[in-house]
Amino acid sequence: MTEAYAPRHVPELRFSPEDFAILNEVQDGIVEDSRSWLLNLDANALSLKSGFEELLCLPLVRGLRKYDFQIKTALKVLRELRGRAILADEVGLGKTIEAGLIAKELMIRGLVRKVLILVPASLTEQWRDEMQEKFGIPFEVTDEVEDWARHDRLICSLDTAKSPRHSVNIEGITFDLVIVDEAHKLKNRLTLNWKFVNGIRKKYLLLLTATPVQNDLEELFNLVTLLKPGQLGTWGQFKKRFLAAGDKRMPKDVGDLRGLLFEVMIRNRRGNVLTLPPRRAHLARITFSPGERRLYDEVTAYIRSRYPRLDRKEASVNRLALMILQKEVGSSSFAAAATLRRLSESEQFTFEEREQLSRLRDMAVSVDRHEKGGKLVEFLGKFDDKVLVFTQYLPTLSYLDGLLKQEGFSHSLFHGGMDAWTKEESVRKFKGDAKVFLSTEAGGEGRNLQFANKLVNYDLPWNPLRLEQRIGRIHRVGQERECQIVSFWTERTIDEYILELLDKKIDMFELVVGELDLILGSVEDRRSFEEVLMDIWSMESEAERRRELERFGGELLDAKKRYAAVKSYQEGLLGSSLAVEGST
Amino acid sequence: MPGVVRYEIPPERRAALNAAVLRVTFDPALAEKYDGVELLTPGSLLLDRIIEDASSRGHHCVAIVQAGDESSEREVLAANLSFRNATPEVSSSKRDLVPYMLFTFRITLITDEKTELLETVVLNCDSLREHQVRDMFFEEALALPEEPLTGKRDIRPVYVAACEEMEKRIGAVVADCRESARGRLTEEEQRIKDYFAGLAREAQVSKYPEQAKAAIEAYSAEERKRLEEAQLKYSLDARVRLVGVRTIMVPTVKMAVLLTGRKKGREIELQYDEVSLEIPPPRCDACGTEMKELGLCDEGHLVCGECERKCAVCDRVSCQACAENLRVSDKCAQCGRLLCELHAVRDDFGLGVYCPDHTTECPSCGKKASGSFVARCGRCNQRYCFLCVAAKEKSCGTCRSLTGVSADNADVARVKSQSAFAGKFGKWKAARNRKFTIVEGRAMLAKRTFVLDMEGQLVWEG
Repeated sequence: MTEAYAPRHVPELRFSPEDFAILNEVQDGIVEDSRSWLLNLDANALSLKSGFEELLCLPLVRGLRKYDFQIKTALKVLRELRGRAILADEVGLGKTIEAGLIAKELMIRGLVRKVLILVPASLTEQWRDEMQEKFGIPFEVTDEVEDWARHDRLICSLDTAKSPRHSVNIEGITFDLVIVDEAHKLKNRLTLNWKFVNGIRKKYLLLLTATPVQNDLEELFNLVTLLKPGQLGTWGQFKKRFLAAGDKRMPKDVGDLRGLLFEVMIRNRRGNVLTLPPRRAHLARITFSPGERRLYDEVTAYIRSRYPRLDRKEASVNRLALMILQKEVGSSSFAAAATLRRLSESEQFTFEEREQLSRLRDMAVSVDRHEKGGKLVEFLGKFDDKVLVFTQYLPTLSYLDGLLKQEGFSHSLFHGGMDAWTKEESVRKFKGDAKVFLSTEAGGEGRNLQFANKLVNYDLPWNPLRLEQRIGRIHRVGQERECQIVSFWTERTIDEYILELLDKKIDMFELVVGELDLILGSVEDRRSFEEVLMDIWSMESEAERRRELERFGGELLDAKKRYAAVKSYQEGLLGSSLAVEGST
Repeated sequence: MPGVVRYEIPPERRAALNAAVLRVTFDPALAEKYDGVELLTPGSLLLDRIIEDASSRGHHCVAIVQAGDESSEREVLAANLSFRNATPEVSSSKRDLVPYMLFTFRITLITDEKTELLETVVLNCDSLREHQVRDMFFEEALALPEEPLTGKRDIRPVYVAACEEMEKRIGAVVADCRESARGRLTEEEQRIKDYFAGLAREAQVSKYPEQAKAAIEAYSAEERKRLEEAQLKYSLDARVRLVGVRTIMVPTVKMAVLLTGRKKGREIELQYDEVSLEIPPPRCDACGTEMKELGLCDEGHLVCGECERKCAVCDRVSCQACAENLRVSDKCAQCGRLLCELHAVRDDFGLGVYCPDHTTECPSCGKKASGSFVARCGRCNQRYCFLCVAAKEKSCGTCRSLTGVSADNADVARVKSQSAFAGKFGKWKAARNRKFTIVEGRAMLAKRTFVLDMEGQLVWEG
């Protein structure tokens, strides 16, 4: 039997060529036991998938706290928006999770095979880890152009993907699903970003952004047109219908516009779907012991004399090392000692410098009173609750490990050098009877630690996003109690600068997790936050430092105001009309 | 633990799964609660493995079913079928083991969403007739046949018949799926076309014709791309895969039944399996639908109630399978009853076909009149064709041609003998047509009309 059956009533039906193998078995009288036959039928019955009445993937994404609104959002995208949507939830509501649910669901049902996730370069790894850990979907981060042909599931930064070298390869591919994170980068249809994404052949498309509209309605028009050309007509038609002369910000008929957006966009708002318990920030002032003070001042003086500032012409090979040293000496003398020792042995320094570094190292080793350690013990003694303690440096971590053991606190350790199993074990121990979770930032993302509600910043990271991530470990969906964030800061150190900028200027401890990025994103400075900070700190003159700090603080303040303006604009335009809760 | 099942992995799969026994559950809550309990749910790796494993085997198995108590063919026949215009007689019967095949198909329909279903079709391999799917066909414990069933018959026709049957059953689902996706596609295509048409119009009014031309070309390239995307997303991909086959030997009685009716008789072959004792209803010779109530037409066709045509006048039965000239196919234009060609009357005024009840042979001129061409005479109250009833006087030709007769005329005598009123009249007139004799009696102030039929019976007076 070789000739395929040709359908007589339903022309589209394609009969599997594999049927012949079975038919030949039947023809040849090859027989199996009825039990296998029944098992085969049961297996087939069990694996039938139809419709989008419910999410099949839910039981599969275990250990991930999913919210009703996220599930409803995923269902609405699949069922009503037909897999093309702008996910514009407010920050911190888990757009990634919604996108992951949708992707997982489409994959389980066999509707999607080739997936591309376009994200900012800094988030590629994070996306890959989240997709793997939370959804069990393995993704590759594109590296070389060959990857496009090699892998079905790819994560790539938008900038890499749109470069001619890569985009040539993408041209010929049809993706089943494309996800664009931080999609507000596609707000201008004249940019290469927009044109590139528009040029990709794709079936389903998810655009993720917390700020679908920042300055005017044209941005919104561009996003929607990328997703569903014609939904808002052409730009000319859109202008005519919605824009009053001279005003690109508010439409003539908000209701009409919302109605059209309802078919392409979902925007859940914090207030509608969940409220986080309040969070309180405490600043714990530390006064260094004389030994620590002397060490800090001398190290700082050394760094100031060496740090390659803009006005210095020397090569900047040691820039990073010096910056780390400056951070470490603020963390603990142990952290500083380790680096000082390494530097004092480095060939990159002159003999005199190595002498000096070696002296500083001896000074670090001889510090006998550690004020912050004492403060931590005192603080831990006050509560029965579980506490997360974050430090950036392993030597500090191991010092604290010893200290807590000595003081009789049960604790678990967590750092980037551990393997996955040990990390898991460590989290389990903390969930169990350990009181303290002692951790460096590394690798902590994605783990649910919301059962704790107290956090100590043993040292202040210079990168505010790090600080925000730490807070985000406990102050996130799932937290039921008020959160206490205690930040240690030491007087007459760079900590004062950090707090001046983050606490005084942008009230960072009051921000919702996720907002900081949106604020810092609009600061126009090519240097990173920590570079700016270090540049200021390394200036010799106190007056100069203050002036620079004021200037930079002013910039941050402006950025915060801009963000507030965007937020209220968006609020006025969209309100809660596009939330899933409101729609059901 | 309730809800948790020990799953013993088949030896050949142990290496792949890296375990010999797994504890599995279908309940996410239990999987969450207990360590080491694997969750089985659509899409989970383990279930996919198990399913893949299970569906790579068990393609074909065989079984035999035992007959119940023997029962008489006559009883089974009476229990399954009833008869119209015919009396059945079982003329011969024989018992046999007949293979039935149970095919299970998995149908996957993909548009921008997915619909999957399993269809099971059971066929009698002899008759290629579909058989009702019975729970017992799925029983694991059915006995195995003693002899192997190797290569006795070509299963291709059976497979083809099963495919066809399956197709018929899923036709509606597929159409549904196709149409709803097509609706979404049309909507999307329309939106895309409108959008690009709008863009092109806007480009055309631009000041720079060169640029406009380039822009329009670019738009149409993009439009093609968007349309392709949409088609790709919504077009129907429909696939069928045969999951497995079970051959079941079923004791079957085949019998010939002779039907005798009004005219020609007919012998039909019927069979039933001795398990269900159900006779697959035969199909109507005319329309092909299955029927539980069998009729026989005068030509010996097996015919269903829908296709049967019976003359309202003479009970002659025909059907759509009969030759055209033998069909009872005319209908009375007035009452709608069916008429055979003997009883279909074509009126003489060209109105159409009428049944004898609704046709009047004009007593005056002899023409056949029907419907509105029939008129009643105002004097003798009998029906004539409308031509024979003068409109002005409203009387028929016979009444208008009455001529005087003597009181001892034979017709007058008949009237007198039958009517109590006749005695008081002194003057008589009479006239005769094809059906009636009209007699009129007159007195000083009275006049009365009497109608006699050909036998001289008084049929009307007034």
